[in-house]
Amino acid sequence: MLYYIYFFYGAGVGENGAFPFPDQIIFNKIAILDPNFINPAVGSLGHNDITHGLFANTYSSFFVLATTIFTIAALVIGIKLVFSSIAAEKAQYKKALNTWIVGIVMLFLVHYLLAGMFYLNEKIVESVSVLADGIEVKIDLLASFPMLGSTIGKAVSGVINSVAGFFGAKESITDITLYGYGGIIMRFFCLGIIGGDLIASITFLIIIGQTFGLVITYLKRTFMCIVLGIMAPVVVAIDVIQKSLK
Amino acid sequence: MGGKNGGIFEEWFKNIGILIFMQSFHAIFLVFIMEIVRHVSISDSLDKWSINDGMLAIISMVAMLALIKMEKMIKGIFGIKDSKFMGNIGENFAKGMAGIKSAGNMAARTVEPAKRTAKLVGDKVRNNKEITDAKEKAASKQKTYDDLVKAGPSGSHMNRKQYMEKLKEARQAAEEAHKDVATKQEKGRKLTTDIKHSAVQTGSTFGSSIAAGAFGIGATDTIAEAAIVANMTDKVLDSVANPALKNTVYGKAARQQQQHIEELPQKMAEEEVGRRYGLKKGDAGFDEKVRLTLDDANFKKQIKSAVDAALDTKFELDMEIPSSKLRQLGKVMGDTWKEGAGAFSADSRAGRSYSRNIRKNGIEYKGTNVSNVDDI
Repeated sequence: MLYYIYFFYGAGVGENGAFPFPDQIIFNKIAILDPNFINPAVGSLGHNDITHGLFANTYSSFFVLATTIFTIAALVIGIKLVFSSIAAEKAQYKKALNTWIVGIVMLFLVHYLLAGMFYLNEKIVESVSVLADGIEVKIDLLASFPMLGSTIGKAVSGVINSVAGFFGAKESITDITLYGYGGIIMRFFCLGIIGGDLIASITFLIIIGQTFGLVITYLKRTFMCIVLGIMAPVVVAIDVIQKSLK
Repeated sequence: MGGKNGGIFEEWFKNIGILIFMQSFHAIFLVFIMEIVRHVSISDSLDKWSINDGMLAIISMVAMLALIKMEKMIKGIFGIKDSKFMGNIGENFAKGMAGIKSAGNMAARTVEPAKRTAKLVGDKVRNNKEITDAKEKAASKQKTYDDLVKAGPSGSHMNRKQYMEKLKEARQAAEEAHKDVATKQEKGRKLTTDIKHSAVQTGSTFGSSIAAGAFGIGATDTIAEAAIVANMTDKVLDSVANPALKNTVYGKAARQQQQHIEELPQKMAEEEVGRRYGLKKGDAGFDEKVRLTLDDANFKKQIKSAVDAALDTKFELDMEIPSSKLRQLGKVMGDTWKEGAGAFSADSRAGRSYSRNIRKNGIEYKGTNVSNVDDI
């Protein structure tokens, strides 16, 4: 029981707790769910030496492939432009050349574009999360223990706080103040799982289930962002080819 | 799969943009919910469930549900569908299973003619070896007979009676060996014609499967749907290509074979009557005897065996296929490819309209609605 208290307590008050609560997932407090492989946070998927090397090498390979495609495309467009004598065809090849130039610029800028999008997102989330931390939730752990009962529990916590005060403690050590969404969930945990309230227990379990869903969603998001980000050079190259052929 | 609603880059940018900024939307939404929670005010009672806790519970559960639903709503606002690779397959297990079964059926159908051709080629290689061995044996038997003839009774150290018996045996052995060679060579000729037929069939089936696969991919949004559509398209293409093959390459030959089979019973009956009763066409009672022979139950069995044997024989393929016929066949396959390629590049009107139909009505092709995996 004490382990579970630590498990959820740690997650509710700290950033490095065992179970991620929804606000920690959404406010970028869980490193493993960070999709930013360009500037990875410590502990994220892209920060590990092996995965970072893998992402970098794959991106480089796709970059080299894209430059090869661009080179071949430039040769073909150039040759066709030189040997074409019909004005309409020449105009078409000039348009293809313009598309090619835009494409080559995009090829070199696309990872800056990605880095910018990740940075902007992180800043928005950071500024918004500051507002959310203002919510306080107080919990009296000892009073929640069913075996003690609320009267005895309060009496025991009163004794403990008095002793602590004797030794210089300025505030109650059995009352815990938690913040944010994690605090709300901890309240349901204490009232329900520890205190035995049925509705609180059910609420707690439902929210935990929903949180699992959120974790899966964000994990999927991380993988998809990394895959889509790594294939950016090839996407640019194929887009240029497709537009040139139209 | 390639940029139906705009360029590939635009699609990629929209998808990755939504993935990244979805977190910002979630964060703003969560803060909004938590402001509501703050105004509801959490109970001061630290150990009892109160009415405020009830409101808190409802708000928390609804907020979490809304968070996930909002993602789909925002994607819809920006016109983004789930991708082929991480979208509908996970959500619709039945469609995924149908897709797997369709892909398997199409692959089996495509591979079948190739397997048949490969088996026939293997049989032909074995037959060639058998012919070589049979020829060697026949040559050896013939040499024995020739040496015996050259040597004569005195050279063979036998009396005349023994010599004649030995000569007869040697001659019979040589004749049987030569007959064996002829039989094996006839089998080899049949195998060659069967291989020609099977190879053309393989090319046609494989070509139609490639075209059907391309059409399926271009006309649908997920791999599962693409496999189902490709399987059904492939069946239709095969049903078009097989008669096209018959009418173009084998047109005259197929008609000749058909005529031969139709005339076979009458011919066989006339031969039987001639053999049994010594009657010829035009003799009195000849037609009556032929009619009775055709009605005879035993003779009907003989006719059936002969017709089966005639159907097995692709003797018509020994004749050279004229280039005009091959060009006609090429045109049929080319048109099939064009349809598939057009749908694949999503530039064809057929591909776009088909894709719209798929999205509106589910999987439906030429009036066939796929509601049961076993129907595929």
